Amino acid sequence: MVPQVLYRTALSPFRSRSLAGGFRQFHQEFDNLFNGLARRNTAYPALKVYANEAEALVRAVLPGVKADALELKIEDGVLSLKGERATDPAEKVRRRERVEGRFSRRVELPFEVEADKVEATFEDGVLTVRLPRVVADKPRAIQIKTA
Amino acid sequence: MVADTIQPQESSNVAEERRSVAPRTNIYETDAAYAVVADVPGVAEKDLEVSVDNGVLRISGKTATGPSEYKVLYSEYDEIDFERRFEINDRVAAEDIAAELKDGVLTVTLPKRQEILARKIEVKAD
Repeated sequence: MVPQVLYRTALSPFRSRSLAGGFRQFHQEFDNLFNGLARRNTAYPALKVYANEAEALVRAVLPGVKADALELKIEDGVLSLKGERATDPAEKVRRRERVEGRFSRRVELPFEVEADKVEATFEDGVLTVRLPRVVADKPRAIQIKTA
Repeated sequence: MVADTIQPQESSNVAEERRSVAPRTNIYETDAAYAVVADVPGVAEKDLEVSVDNGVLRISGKTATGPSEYKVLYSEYDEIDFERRFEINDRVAAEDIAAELKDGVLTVTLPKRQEILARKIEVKAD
């Protein structure tokens, strides 16, 4: 069963643009204006869900976010991830592309998990949540008894 | 100043099908330096390269591959390569550029040349 992810818009990674001077400036300004008014129109943070027979992994791309700025919860088979990303305040910002602000994502888990065995680690700005599958739920071969 | 250079279109490595993407970058300026702060999540220090050559600051890196032995059920991002170039001019002391990678964020500090920093000029009055 494919998990439902709410706010299902795909994140398009920022691509390099080969635009000449003036036009690039305009595009940049437009981006900034838009981000100021209506939060980004792509889901943040970007997520990936992996699974095998033993466990599920949920990964979230959160560069520069500290673990204590994150809130992870499991409830009714849904993993929720909330937090805030503050970028450094600075005297003069010449260019602002990095996403900042509050975020909230929810992922429906593909199977029942042992909530107290869930582990989360952060490496190189990528959060990985390991969710072991409930043992009774694991697929197992069923013996066919013949009389 | 620090400005984007025109870049070649995305490169694709035929063998691996990894795309090259420009990392989201903020650029700050203080009195003493510029700071180029780029999001390069999933890149370990050994896979990151920062170089300055002939007035061009180049940042490139590869993200770690995903975990093996799992099926991908849902995906909003790919394993990609990062690449971006910035033109830097004479205002930057290229020899003093420093870079730090922490939690998937690369901060490159570009100090401004001492001699061009504004100095107060004393006015002597008779």
